[in-house]
Amino acid sequence: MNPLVWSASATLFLFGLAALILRRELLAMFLGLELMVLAAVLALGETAARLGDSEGFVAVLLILAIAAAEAVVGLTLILRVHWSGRPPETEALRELKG
Amino acid sequence: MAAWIIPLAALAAAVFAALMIFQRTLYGAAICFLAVILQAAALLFGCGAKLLALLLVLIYAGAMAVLIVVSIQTAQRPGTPIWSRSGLPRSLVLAGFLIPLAEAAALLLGLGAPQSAAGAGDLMLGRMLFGPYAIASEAVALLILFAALAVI
Repeated sequence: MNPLVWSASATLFLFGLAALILRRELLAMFLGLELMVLAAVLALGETAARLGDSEGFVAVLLILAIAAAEAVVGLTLILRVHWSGRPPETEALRELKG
Repeated sequence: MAAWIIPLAALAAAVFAALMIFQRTLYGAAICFLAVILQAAALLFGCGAKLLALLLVLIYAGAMAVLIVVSIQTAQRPGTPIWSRSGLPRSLVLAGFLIPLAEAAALLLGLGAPQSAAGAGDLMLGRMLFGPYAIASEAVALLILFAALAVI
């Protein structure tokens, strides 16, 4: 186990969580969410590399691809909110259908 | 292996992640996020996961960061300044790009090359992706296709 990589991964996850909680803009929250995914990828990738585990590499690859798809959908939803004329803060989003 | 690369990348990743939270402008946050991605790739490269580092740069820095910047530009209110006074100092922006460049140069010149057997893991990964995990790979490819269709 590389303690530096693991501590960096934990720090990134905590900062991502902090961004998700503290920020109000949707895009900033999205960046925090992506930071958390990146921290998980970093920890998993380091473990897979250390153990020489190919299944770990496959898992990281699949996570990266799913994160890319999730980013596309998430950013599209954020842009739809913007185009609907509502402010990009979370307080404006209280209804699923309105 | 150059012992300074992993500590430097870990420290820089933590610093830029902290800066990302406190940026008032979304452009500043996106640049900090890009710096964190590059540092994470340097960390993975230093650990011996070369292919993952490359894919992280390609997918996250190359595709997602661009998508995020385009979304920020599209969702920007008219008249909003791109860089406010509380944005990132230029020295930090410069450091965000120079540190990954220095790390990449050191790693590519062999100063910090990982000791793992080159190519063996990648070959195994290819066999796994198109062998036992072929259905999962196809499912993820379909998911990306549906995501692209959902955007359209």
